Amino acid sequence: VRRGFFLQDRRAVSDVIGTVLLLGITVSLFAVLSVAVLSELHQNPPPHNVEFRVDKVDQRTTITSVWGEALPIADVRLIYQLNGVRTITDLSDPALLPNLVQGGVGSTASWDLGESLRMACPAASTDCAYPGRDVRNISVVQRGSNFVLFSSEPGVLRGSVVNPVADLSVRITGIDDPAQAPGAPIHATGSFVVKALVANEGVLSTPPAASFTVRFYIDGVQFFTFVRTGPLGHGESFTVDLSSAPPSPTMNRPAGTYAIRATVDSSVAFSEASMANNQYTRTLQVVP
Amino acid sequence: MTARRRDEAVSTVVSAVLVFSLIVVVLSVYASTIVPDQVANAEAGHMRRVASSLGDVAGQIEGTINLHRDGEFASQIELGTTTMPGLAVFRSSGSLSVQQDSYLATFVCSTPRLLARGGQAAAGSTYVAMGGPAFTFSSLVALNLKVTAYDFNTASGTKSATVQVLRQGTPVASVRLTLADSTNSIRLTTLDGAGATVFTQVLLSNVPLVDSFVVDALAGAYGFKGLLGDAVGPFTMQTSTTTSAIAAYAVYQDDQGIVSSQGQGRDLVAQFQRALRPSMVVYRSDNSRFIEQTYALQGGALVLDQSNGQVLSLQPFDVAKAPGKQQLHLALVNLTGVGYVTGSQHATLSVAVRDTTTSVLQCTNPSALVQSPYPDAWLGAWREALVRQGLDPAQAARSGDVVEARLLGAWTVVLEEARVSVRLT
Repeated sequence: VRRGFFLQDRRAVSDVIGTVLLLGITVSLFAVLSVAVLSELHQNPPPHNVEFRVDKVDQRTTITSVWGEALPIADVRLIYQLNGVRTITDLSDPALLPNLVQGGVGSTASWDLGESLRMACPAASTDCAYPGRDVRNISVVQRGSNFVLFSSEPGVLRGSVVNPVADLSVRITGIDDPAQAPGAPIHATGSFVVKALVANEGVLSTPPAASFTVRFYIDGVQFFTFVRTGPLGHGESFTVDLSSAPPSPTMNRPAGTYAIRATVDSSVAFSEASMANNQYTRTLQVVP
Repeated sequence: MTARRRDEAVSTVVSAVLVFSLIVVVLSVYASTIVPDQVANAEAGHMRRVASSLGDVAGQIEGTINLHRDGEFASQIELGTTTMPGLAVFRSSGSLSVQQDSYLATFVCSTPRLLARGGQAAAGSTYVAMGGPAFTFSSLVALNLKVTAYDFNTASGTKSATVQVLRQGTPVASVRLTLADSTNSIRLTTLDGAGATVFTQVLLSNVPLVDSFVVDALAGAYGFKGLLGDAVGPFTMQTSTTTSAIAAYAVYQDDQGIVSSQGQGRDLVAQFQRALRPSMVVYRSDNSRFIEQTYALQGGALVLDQSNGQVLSLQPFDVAKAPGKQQLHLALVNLTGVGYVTGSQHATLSVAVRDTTTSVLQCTNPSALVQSPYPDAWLGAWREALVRQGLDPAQAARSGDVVEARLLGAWTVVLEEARVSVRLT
């Protein structure tokens, strides 16, 4: 009886060891998995809980931290309109950082409560980042995640995400026969002109040195190109009007339905927030 | 058979261990990453609500003072948060208390001249003869009309003087004093922008031979201020006269927000001084994840104190500057009360505002001194206020827990004073 008891006991130990080993292996595997998940989560930390106040008195524009956590300077990016031009600058940039008036309480590596960044001031002054210039619509963005922590620009909400690049869009606004009244049908033997509105819906201007092309197609066949040089600012737009570049293309196609397509920067001359709005197709009904 | 049964048992155990481990890991990840962020966000949201509630209280006190009336109101302050469903263990708390004698505010005005007090031109002010040049203003603080040394018996006929207010050249309202020799009377008439009579009344009849008679033209019964209130500044005021015996004294705000006067105020004693040692209402948080915050209602100011700095969320002063003019708007609130509440529930902060007065002074080198546990907040606010107006921020300096703003030159000071009593329940 005693021997049988020990045999049973050994079997039991074997089961327990096996279970413990299985448990250990499984926990280890899931621990590795959780570390991977955690590291992924920390790549996009949640937005800092902070509040700012923008004071604009005469020619002075100041933004002050008035509530919440200390904001590491390395984490801060500012987007603002400088004399009407959308500009993006990291707070650590030498153009901005010396104008952060820091108090004696917090760390020099962070933007602490009560500390002010002097953005603009009269031309005769030197105690700001941009003497004699106009700064408005300031947004404080968390670098990396691009969370908007604060914005004085109407419609830009805290917690939203900005993609700090340009974003071109194109939309066909009219297809007409230049010899007919607007809205009249296009004839198979007539000519036609197209108007397209190109806009920059992005946060930033297009690169100053870059040019981009607007192309027009009918049923996949390119019939007109327009090259834009120079920057297109945030919120700016222009119209490509084929009637201003005669001769107008002739239809010279049988009556039927055709697809008129416009594209902008299809060759991706610079990065954009979205390429989905870089083309626009409109159906054209051609009559005999 | 025994071995087969054991294999089945191992399979069950393996499944159980896997499920158990998965649950443990999921809970661990949730507890170590999601929960802290949610707790921090919940506490941050709570602190925003506390800031908003106390800001509302400070704003209501300021609004009551600006309206120059007594007022009572109550506000609920959320001491803690339990907004994490099922996670009461992460509940934060806080305390709200009234602290005695922890704050000192002193205001000193050298060579003071009182322009107006309580919305009326200062008694004893020097009045100017009517018919002076027109001036532009955005709101009228005080308007007194004065008849002095007019002999009704020797002058003949009817004399009148009109103070007319125009907006972009169009008359908005006018008030007219008429001296009638035949009846020895003084009549006041208020006219709207179209010249129609809004109010007319004989203010005084059988005036003694030589007398001085003052009319507060902004008194509500006369309707003049009501007509002014319908329009939006800037206004232009022009006066006419048929006799120098009728004079006017006006205190007004120009379109820069600077208070000026037509006429001279009354000299006060050599130095005008106010010294208060009020209590302060203090909220202290006890958070587990979000940064600890302390809010203090301090003499009309709302202070936010954190480990990484201090700031005046609401400042009881404002500095304005226009060519040749500098103005300080300052509120001195004498706060008293008792109470201490702590926990996670709501506390009620009852506030009564009494004895509100406004004094408009002209001062040379006025100074405002504050002794506070939060000197950095006061110093920063003063310096930023001065810098924004292009003034030297070094006029504000700190020594220990004392911050003093010594403003140089001639200043117009709009001084708001009130008694505020608070009760915590």
